Amino acid sequence: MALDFSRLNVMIVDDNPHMRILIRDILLGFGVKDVVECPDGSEAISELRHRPADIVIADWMMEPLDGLDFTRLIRTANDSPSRFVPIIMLTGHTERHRIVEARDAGVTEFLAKPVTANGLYARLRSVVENPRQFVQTQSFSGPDRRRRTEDVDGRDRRKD
Amino acid sequence: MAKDDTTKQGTEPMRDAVMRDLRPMGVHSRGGPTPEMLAKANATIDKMTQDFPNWASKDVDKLDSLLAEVASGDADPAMIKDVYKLAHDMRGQGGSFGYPVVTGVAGSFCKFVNSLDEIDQGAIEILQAHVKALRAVLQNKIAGDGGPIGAKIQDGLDRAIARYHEKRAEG
Repeated sequence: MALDFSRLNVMIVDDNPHMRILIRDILLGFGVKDVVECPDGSEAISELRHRPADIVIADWMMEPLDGLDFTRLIRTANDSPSRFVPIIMLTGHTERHRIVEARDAGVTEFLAKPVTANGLYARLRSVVENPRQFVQTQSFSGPDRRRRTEDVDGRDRRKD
Repeated sequence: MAKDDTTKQGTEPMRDAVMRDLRPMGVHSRGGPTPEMLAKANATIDKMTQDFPNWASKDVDKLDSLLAEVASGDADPAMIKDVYKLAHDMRGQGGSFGYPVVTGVAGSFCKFVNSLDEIDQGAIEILQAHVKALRAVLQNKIAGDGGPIGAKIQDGLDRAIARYHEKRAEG
């Protein structure tokens, strides 16, 4: 039994039209009926003000506002149109320090290029089946970066 | 993890403290994709794979002309960022559209640019060799892993890069 995505609306933010078409058509193949495309982060923020999305899929490398800055604005700006929206970051950057950087910006999931139907489905599934706590501290705003629940040996810092 | 996650502010209780939960919004059931879903999605990828050499060749032309401007010495030094961005896009697209050799060559291009302190004539020649390789892959539709030809192309570029760095090290 697969997930039924037919009532979701998904926003794709990518400055490459071919990648947007690829992702849009895969999503349509999964049964998503409402897909909005934006060529960059600033247009995506404007669009979100008029029309909230349930999930945003954003490329990392875009101009003038890249995927990382877009995520930071969504998570932290006082007038953010959609602070809690899950953001799936599409990236060719798979180096660990890059992933940590994006995670710290508030990215929910990563989808490494090359894009595959199975890979995209798995990220959508993770977003839907495992909604994460939203954390806001002085230094971080975004989905809880801890994915595992483990007993804490000692002081639980989150309760301080 | 950022050190000041432990600040007194901690995890403030928030009005909507869970990332948007999509389950009550009509996303029914659980589990992986059906074969029909994957077939539809893969049909999209297959169709775009057929078209890829046509539109990717235009990106290669653009890369070639940007490099020519950089080589002329009259270009804005920041133009190398545009060159890098274009190659980086190709790196991401190649594998997605069934041309992993394009991803390999464009990835090698990006890695080489990142390794440079300055763009000298030798570096330009290596970057142009990458452009030629990309053009050959697309013109000859070397899809999939590229087989022996794909391996030979990548090996040739790797050796040229190694020679360049050796020369630079020798001064």
